[in-house]
Amino acid sequence: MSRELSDLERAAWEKALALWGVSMHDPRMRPGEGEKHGGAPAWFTFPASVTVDPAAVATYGGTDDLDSVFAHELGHHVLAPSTRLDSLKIRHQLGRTLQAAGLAHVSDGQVALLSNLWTDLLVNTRVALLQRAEGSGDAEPGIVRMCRALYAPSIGGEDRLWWVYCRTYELLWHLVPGTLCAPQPPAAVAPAVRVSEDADARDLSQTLERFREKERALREARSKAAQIEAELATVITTAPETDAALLADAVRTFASDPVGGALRFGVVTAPYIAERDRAERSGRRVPAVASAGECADDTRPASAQEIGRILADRRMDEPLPQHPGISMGETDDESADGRSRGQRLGVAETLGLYPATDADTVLTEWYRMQAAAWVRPVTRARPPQAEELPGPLETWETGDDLAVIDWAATLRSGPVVPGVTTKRRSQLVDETEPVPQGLDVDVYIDSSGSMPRPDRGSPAVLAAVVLALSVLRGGGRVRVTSFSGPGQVAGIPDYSRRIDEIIRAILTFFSGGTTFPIDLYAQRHLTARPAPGARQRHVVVLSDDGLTSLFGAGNPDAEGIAAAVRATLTTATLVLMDRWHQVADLAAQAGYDVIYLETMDDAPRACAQLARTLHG
Amino acid sequence: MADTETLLQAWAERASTDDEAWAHTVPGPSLDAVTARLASVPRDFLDERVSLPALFGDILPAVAAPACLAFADDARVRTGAAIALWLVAADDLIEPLDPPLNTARAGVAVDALALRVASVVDPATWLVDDERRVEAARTFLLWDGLRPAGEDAATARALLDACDSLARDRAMAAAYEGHRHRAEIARRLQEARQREAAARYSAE
Repeated sequence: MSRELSDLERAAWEKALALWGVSMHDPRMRPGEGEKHGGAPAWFTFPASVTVDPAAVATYGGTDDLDSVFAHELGHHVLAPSTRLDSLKIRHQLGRTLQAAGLAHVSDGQVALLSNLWTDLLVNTRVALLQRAEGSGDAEPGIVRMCRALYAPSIGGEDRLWWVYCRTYELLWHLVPGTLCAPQPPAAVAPAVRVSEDADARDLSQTLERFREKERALREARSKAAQIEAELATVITTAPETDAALLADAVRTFASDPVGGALRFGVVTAPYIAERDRAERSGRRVPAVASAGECADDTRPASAQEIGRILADRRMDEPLPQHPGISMGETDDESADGRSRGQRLGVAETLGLYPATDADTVLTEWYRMQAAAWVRPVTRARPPQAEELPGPLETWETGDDLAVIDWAATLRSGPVVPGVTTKRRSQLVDETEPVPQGLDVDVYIDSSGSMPRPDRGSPAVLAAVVLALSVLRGGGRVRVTSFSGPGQVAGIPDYSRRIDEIIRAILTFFSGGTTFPIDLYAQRHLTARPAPGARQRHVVVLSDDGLTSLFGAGNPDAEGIAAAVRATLTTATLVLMDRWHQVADLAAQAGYDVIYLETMDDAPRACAQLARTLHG
Repeated sequence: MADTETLLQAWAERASTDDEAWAHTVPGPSLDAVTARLASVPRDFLDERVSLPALFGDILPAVAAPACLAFADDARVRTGAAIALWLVAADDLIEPLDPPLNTARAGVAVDALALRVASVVDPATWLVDDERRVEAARTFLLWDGLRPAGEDAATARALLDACDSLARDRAMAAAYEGHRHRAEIARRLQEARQREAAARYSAE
């Protein structure tokens, strides 16, 4: 339960508001609630709200600096992360750095920890600056006193990341080493060396004599590789003193840009989480993670709209910077371990960043954002309809239709003499410009096991999404059918303009065999008559070399259906991942165009080709 | 332009050890006063057409020529030395710091900025970057036999160490070597795995 602010607390709150120059509703004072937030004395939540546990503040001796506690939490509202969207973007960037550091599974807690450290660094540094500016100059800012009191219990702790964090404050605030953390960093915990011998435990004499020499050579090579692997696992590359200086630089450089600086912060700090993780997995005892509690409390998973806005920010997809220790003295294109830089965020990595959000939502937004750059309106020119315009007057001749006499003009010419004074209005043909018209495109996408999975990056899915968005942009409609083995058909039954529904249908993945739903195809295009006024019809099938079932392979009853349907369509195009062009002849015989696709990078080109075909 | 190692070597030959320097420091002016002076160097001192030996002779006529004059044609050394000389000159041109700088030791202090600091940090950044300005101010005070007001020798030394660019560059180089070492092991592992793959055989 919240209680009212006391007079002293209100004075401190108003002082903190004045420090930042903002207004905000009163904080919630909830004694004893800090335990639920990792022992934090105060925390900030979205929608913007500050909560303080005065009992926890008193426990660490911060009651006299309550204005600094408030100022810190207000800093999360004003500076970092400021908005929930920016908070999610910071977490997104830090999650990427954790993945790049080698963590197979990035946990929400790991991301939250780094996010808290980064935003706290920015906020506390700014608060100290503001307090120095309004203070007497030499007096120690309240926020520095607060941190000294809050971090005092952790001095001498074994958590290396916490040491780097505290040392960064010492550098930023010109504090003597040992003020917030021990003068020397704790030693790293190297992973335990484990060389697997299981495969070679078998006695060599059990191997057939003619293979013994080869078996001996294999065991020797395997043993050597295992030794080097164990050696690699024990190498520690983190350098706390240097890393603290790098973080201090990052704080100064990105003082007002928490999202922009998150990657720089992450590449320096994520290796500490990764080293800890490796040591823990190897069975080593690792020190407890130190923290001052979670003061940015926001555990709601990202919504579809938020993920869309995050992925639409190009910074979220930019290549990761190298750790300054690695990139020193190297060109931009090569890292110390010889790997090429510039790898962008793939769909699998993106899914890994949002474990708490529905995977279909993440996939939908990811493909939509990947497609966005390539979407162009796809239309087809409607045949011009000749119209007539009134032209100059002509003489109405006897024998012409009486109805076309222009009586007003005739009477103005004097007495009516048929064939002499009678007039008629001539008609001129108006050559109108062709009118672009949206298309109805019937899309069939193969979701059999031989196709790339959407959650691993599917060129077919990307091409289908680019196509669908382009058709919708041109004012058209799309119907999607996902197919795999017999009975494995899903999608939307009617043409639609609802983007989410269309992309979700495209993302359907059965992972079964490949059988084109020929009966449904025939029913839609041969049996059912198009509605009066229906637009021209176009079919696009995305598949691989298993699409022979469209042309009746293995089903004699289906032979000729594809060709018969083709005759009713305006265009019919196969977009195939068919390296050896095994479907080419069948497609040509039935009158289908074919566009080939292999990688994600091919999708825009294939869609541009497809757009030209559809446009006619 | 002289290379960095040559300048650092010249400084090493010129200076006593850090321990000795710190042992002889006495309380000096406040750090803020020195950094404020550093931030207000007159343009004339930065003009490369002004002769460094002549400037030195004008400001410190009674002090032996510093080692940095031998590298006066190096832009970093020239600017670093000129900024250091401004700190000395400002005592006369504006007003003495409280307590005043130690003119007798100013030659070493000029060398410290010109040879040790300027060789790793462009002196132009001292004027615009707070951290580097503090580093220059603390270095100058140390080699002038002073420490910032209100700081004992241990504190002053710790705070200078924390912003010492040369030490940081060396730490970065060590960190880079760590990454290089790991990369080398990773490369050997890749080769070993390739040999293991090549050694696999079919038992049919």
